[in-house]
This record gives sequence, structure tokens and C-alpha cells, in this order.
Amino acid sequence: MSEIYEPDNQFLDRLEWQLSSEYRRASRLKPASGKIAIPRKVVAITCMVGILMTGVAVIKAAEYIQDSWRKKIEIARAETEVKLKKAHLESTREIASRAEMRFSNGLVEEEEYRVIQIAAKRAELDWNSSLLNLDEVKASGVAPRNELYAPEMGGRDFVSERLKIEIKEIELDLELFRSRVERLKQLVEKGLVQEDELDLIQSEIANRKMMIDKIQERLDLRKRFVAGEITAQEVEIGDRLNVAERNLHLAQSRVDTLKEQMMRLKTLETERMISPMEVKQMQYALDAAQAELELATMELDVLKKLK
Amino acid sequence: MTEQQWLKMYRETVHPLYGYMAKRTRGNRQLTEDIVQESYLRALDDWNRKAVPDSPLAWLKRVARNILIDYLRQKRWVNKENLDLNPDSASQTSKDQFESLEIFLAISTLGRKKARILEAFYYDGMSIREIANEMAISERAVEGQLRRARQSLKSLLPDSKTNGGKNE
Repeated sequence: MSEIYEPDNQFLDRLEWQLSSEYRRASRLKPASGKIAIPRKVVAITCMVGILMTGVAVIKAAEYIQDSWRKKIEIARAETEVKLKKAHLESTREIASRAEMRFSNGLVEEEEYRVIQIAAKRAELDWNSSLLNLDEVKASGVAPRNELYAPEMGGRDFVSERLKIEIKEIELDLELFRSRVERLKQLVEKGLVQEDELDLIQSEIANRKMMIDKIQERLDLRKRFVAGEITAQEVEIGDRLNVAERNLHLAQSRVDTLKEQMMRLKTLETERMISPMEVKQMQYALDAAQAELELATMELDVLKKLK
Repeated sequence: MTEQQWLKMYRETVHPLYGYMAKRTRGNRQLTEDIVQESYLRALDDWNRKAVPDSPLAWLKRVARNILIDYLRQKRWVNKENLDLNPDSASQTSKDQFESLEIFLAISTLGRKKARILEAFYYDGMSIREIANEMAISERAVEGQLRRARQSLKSLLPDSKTNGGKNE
């Protein structure tokens, strides 16, 4: 065979030395026994994918934090609330529909029928309120805020909208109490019911009217805050004053009612129609109501000084 | 595979591998040495990850042949002067070597069966009988296949370069 097909010794020695060195280098880089040898291409691709995934993960994490996991939780909570309120509304509507049929057939008394109708209306207001909360959570990313100094969200004044719903709820109470008043008047005239029951209902009506007035005042405060006429601190003090006035009014109303009842009970006691123990119980209730009244008065005085 | 086993395998295979490749490069020493070296480096990498094949020499020859084909395919698109051939080759001129390599490249495109029989006859210097024994067919069949392979090769080349005898 010709020489040209044979390697020269210099080449063979050099190659042997190189292969020996490469072998040792590869042995050093070889993974420890028991581990699976991963092809370099796979490692390179894995690294690239890892880097890309890390980048994507960082961006996603930033977006996720930005959006806030709280927002998702709050939205889920608000959506659940809407579903529950909706289910409740459908249920009360169905009951109201059945009650209407029974009332027209004379199977249900008017008062019961009214209570059921008002319950359906209240359920609708609750549902509207939950929808409002959901809209606010979607706009703000946090739980609905009810403070009068809370900012508007997405161009909507959720605080005022909620207060208006509160007024409607109280108006439903009023509607119910008024219907009772008419009925009680007839019963008192017939001597079937004592007059103090009528007084209690009228006291409740007066209280509800006062509560509506107070909510109107809160709405005015809110309006002035949103218009930038007053600061958040002024709104807060104004709102606390409002609540304190309402509490004082309710306490005063309770004291007045209890005093009237006390007078009646004392008369009944002198006629020996009731035991002295019943009068004593009423006195305890009156004392507690008067203590609440004093507390409400003190609170109002403190807030007025702050203002 | 220990270092001793690795070097033992190298010493056993390097002469036949070099001869196999030198016949295909028409004795181009530089090209042959490069391809042989690259073949062993690939072997080290591959066998470390997988396992030593049953026939290391056959594996090395196959890899060396593929390296040469890849090299020639890349060089085919440049002019003849750029082809990395050794002008001081003992028995061949640069032009002859180029033509020889061009023929080898043409053979590699014929298909496995024809390429194998032509390479065995022209590059490896095997006789008809030896080829028949290796391929487990009759000598007559080898002659027939060789004739058809030659015709196929002729149709690929612009002028008849397949005329003449074996390399040696």
C-alpha cells in the first residue's frame, strides 16, 4: 500500500496526546455517577427556556402584583355576594308572587301581604347594593369604602349611591310602619289594642324620618367634599357629629317613650292591675336609656368643640 | 471506558481509519488528518454520553465519511482555488485531487448501495470476490451492480472520470 495512505508518526503522537487530554477534560466535566448525563443541546435549550420563562415570570409577577391578588379576591367575594343576593331576590319574588295570589283570594291578611311585598323590595335593594359594590371593587381593586372622604372611582360616587340605597331601605320601613299605624288606629278605636302600641310605632316612624334626614345631611357633606369645598378632616368631623346627633336623637326618643310607658305602668300599679316588679323593670330600662342619652350628649359636646 | 481503553481503541483503529479516509481524499494528507482528528473527537463526545459501539472502526469510518461529504458539499459552492487541498501531495496534483474529490462527492449522492460498492472497489481496493463475500452475494451480482453504479456515476459527471483502474 502506498505511503500516502499511511499516517505519519508525528501526526499519530500528536493526536494520541490530544485525545488523551480531551479524555481527561471530558472526565472532569462528566456528571457524577448516578446522575443522568444530559446532552449539551438539551442543557442549552433548557437554559434558554429557563431564562425566557424567568423573564416572562418576572413580567407576569409584576403585572400580577400591580393588578393585586387582593383585587381578584375582592372581586370574587363581591361576585359571590351578587349571586347570593340575586338568588335571595328570586326567592322572595316568588314568595311575593304566591302571596299576591293568596291575598287576592282572601287567604292572606293585608299586613302579612305587605310584609312579604316589602321583603321582596328590600331584597331588590340588597341586590342593587351588591352590584354597586362589585362595580366599585372592579374600579378600585379594593373592598368598597364607605367613608364620606373616600375618593370617587372611575368617575362614579359610590359612597353617595350607597347612601341613596340606605334611604330607600329606610323608606321601606316607613312604608311598613305607616300601614301598621292605620291598622292600629282602627284597633285602638275599637279598644282591641292599647294606645301605647300606637305610640311606639309613631316613635319608630319619627326615628326613621330622622335617620333619613341624617343621611341627607351626610349626602350633603359628601357632595361638598367631592366638590372640594371641605377637607377630608372636616368631612370626618362633620360625619361624626351627624352620627352623634342621630344617636342623641334616638336616645332621647327612647327615653321619652319609656317615660310615657312608665307613667302608664304606674297608673296600672296604683289600680293594682300590675305588680310593682314590672314597674321596677321599666325603671331599670329607663335608667339605662337615660345613661345612653347622657353619653350621646357628651359625645356631641366633644365633637362640637373639635369642630 | 477508561483512559487506557480509549487509547487502546485509538491505536487499533487509527491506521485503518486513516487509510480509509486517505483513499477518499486521494492522499490529501492535511484533509485526511483533519477528518480523522475530528472523527475521534466526535467519538469521545458521543461515546461518553452513550456507549462505545459494537464496532468502533465502522462507527469511525461512517462518521469520517459524513464529515468529508459535508466538507465537500460546503466547498462545492466556492471556486477550485479555495478548496483546501495540499499542493505538495506525494503523488497527485491539486487538479487531480479536486477531480477525485468531486467524483467521491458524486458517488455519495448515488444512494447507499451503489456508493458502497463503488467505494469498496475503487477506494478500498477490494476485489470482486471480497466484495461478494462481504455483501453476501454472488460475484456475478457484484459485477452487475458495479456496472450499473458506474453508469449512474457517469451520468452525473460531465466527462468520463471513472475510466481507469483502481487507486493503487
